[in-house]
Amino acid sequence: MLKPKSYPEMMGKALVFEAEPFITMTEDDNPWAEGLFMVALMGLLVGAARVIGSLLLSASMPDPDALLAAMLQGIRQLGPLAASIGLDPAALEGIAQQWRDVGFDLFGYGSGWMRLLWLVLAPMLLIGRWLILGLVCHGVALALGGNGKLNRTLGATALMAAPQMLMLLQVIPFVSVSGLLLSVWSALIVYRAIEVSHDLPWKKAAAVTLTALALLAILTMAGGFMMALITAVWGGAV
Amino acid sequence: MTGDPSLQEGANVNENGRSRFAAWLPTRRQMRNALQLNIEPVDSAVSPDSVTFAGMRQGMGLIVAAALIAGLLPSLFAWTMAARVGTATPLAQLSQLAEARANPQLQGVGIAPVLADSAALIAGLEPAYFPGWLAAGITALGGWINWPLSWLNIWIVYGLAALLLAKLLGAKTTLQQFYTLTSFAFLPLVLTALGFIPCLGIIVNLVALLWAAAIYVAAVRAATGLSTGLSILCALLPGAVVALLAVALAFTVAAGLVTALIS
Repeated sequence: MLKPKSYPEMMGKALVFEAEPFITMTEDDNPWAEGLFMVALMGLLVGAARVIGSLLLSASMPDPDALLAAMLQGIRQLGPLAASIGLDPAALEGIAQQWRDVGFDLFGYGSGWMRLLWLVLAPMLLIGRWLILGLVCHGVALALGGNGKLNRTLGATALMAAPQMLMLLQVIPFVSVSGLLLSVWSALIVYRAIEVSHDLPWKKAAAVTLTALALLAILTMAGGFMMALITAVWGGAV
Repeated sequence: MTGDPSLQEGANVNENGRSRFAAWLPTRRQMRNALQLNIEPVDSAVSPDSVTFAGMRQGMGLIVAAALIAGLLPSLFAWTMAARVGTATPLAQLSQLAEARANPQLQGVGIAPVLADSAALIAGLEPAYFPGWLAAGITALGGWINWPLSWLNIWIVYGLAALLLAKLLGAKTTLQQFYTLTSFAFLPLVLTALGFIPCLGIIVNLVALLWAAAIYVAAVRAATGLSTGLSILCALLPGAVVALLAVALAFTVAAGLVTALIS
């Protein structure tokens, strides 16, 4: 097993698509375990950064209830104007209240103990994404003539967690890391991982990556649809 | 194993006589060559001063450093303004924006003055725990950090679109070569630090953008070996498509709003 203190250097090299970290991971004595530890550790750090960031955000911003009261005051002032353009002031107040209850929690603003959920959610989400993507990539790579083993594929694709290092900056309030940047950068790292672990030419490696991402997108949408369906059915039953 | 060959790192990664920090940036001669559009093709570069001798690590460092320099003045200004009000920077900026949009001749009429009053009220709320200057400082720091993050976003995401187009046109390049050379296009954008100056700011921003576009095209040409025309196509087409989509989306939203208001 590698020493965790070598992870930042490996991830830094993975970010610039050097072959060395991918080779190191595939040649590890237990690549998937190494990958699991790396991804879990990164997830934990990202979760911790979000928790600290949300604490600093809550300390830097006004009290959420005071902010809500100011927003509601503004909405009430708009009352006649809003009605004249077909907007219901009561509905607007409801939306503002919902933002206080849900939206603020989402940004970790004044959310109390809820923010600690990120310490569990962040690693779980990262590990889930890595496993699904790694397994799908391995299957597609084998279908396209790759010769890698699942263990090595999982080890190499674990480096897709490298762009998450940018999320550590969220310890500072109002730092915003684009999801698109993380997704694209991770996809490019997965492409490099497949190239190295399966010894595939660039076109096939790109095809493997795109296919895997498309399948992951479909799975995510299907999962979201199922959740919505369950919520609708469950909500109707209650 | 098949893999994209790494670029020769050149004199930059030689730790002798260079600090570890400097190893994350291209040399001054490389930056000067890039600004002068003197970017040799990858397979013909011989001098360590050539732009193609830099590595992707130096390219990433260049973008981060340039963005931090460009964002320093606006962030300091935002911090000062927010510290005077004694609130977080985004709230102070919201208040300033709302006030600027409220037409003083229509005082008490229309939605804008109401929004301006609400924004001012929100900006006047004290931070929950930190003193005003600290809240302003921490949130301004967040705004400053967003500069390199957004530039990295453009570099990676837009670069991928341009690279895919180049590959479709038959270019033979690697991820590292392409991203290394295109990173130099962000150098002139340091001038956007002066964008806040009235009148002059618009000219400076325009010069910076045009200069950056020219370096980007030269970098694409050097990395891919494509002709100048095809390099321009690869470099600018993704941006044109995004701009068209944005216009179409704005038009659709506006049409929907107008329809809703009329009905």
